[in-house]
Amino acid sequence: MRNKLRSNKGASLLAALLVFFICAMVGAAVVTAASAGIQHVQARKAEQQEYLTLSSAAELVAGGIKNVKFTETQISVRYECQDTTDRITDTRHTDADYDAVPSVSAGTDAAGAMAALLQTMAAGIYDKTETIAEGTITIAPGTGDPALQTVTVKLTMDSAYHLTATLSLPDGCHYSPFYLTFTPDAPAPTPNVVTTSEPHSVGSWGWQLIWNGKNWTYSRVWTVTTKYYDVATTTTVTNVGWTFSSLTKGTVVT
Amino acid sequence: MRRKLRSKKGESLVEVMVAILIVALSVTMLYTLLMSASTMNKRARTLSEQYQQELNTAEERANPTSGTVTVGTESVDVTFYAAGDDGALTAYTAEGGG
Repeated sequence: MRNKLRSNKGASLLAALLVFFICAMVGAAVVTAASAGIQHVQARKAEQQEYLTLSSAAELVAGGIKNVKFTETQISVRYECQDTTDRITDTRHTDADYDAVPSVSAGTDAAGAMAALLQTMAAGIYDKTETIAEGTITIAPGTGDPALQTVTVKLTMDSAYHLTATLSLPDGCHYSPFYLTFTPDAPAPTPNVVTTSEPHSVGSWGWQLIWNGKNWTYSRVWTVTTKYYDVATTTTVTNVGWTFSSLTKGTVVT
Repeated sequence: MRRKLRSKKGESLVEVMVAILIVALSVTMLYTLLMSASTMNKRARTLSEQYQQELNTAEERANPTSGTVTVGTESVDVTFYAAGDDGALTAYTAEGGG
């Protein structure tokens, strides 16, 4: 072994192989570094596009929701007979008829696109059929720039109409969701009561003294008289609008 | 001196020539790799400059073009801001403020 190490035979070949090895290592390191540089720039561009997509969608959602106004009109009609001793055949006499009609108005195209979903959610909260209403809508590329990614917007409304929008990109993207919060503008409604009178027919059996040609007799007769209802129509209009409150930005997930 | 010249110990011509060939190949390979790395670095610099320009265009709301995005099932008119190349960084705003 020692002899082999000390021997000068074949040293040039070994030296040449060493040079080859060093050249290969240096070359590979330099090319890898350069390649990593390009990949870094490309990754940074993809991350930036995700950020721009999310921030643009957030701006669109904030502007859209700001221009939506939810209105719930509740009409309650109460019929009460002026003379409660009468026999009343009409079933309306003590019942109040309720009719709640939700509607929504939208000031812009973006608002119009979200209006139907917001109406469904707010109506659920108004009717107390839901304590927290949720809905999802997507913002997908249309014409002009099909390279944009689809943003999913999840809307959550609590019982006081506070609204939170969570904007997220598809799986595999770097940015975590953006959170937008909206404060409801829902003043307490003032009921408007209009009272009118409505005629109705009240029938009753009674006795009537009738002359039959020979003598007077009592006969049972069905008498129909006109009475009046007090009709109280109460219209309560609840308006809910939203103002943008805060935006919490996501962070880059590495 | 004479003994050394007459000695048959040492390396053969073939060995030396093979060694020279290996060294030549190594130098050529290193040169090629360095040139490739240089080209890649230039490309990275160009991409970086292009990225910065695209970012400025998108953030400064410059170079507006009309288009649409689909919100739910409805089409909403928007204005795109991009440098103009395919795949360039793009931002958008809804027409009429959202």
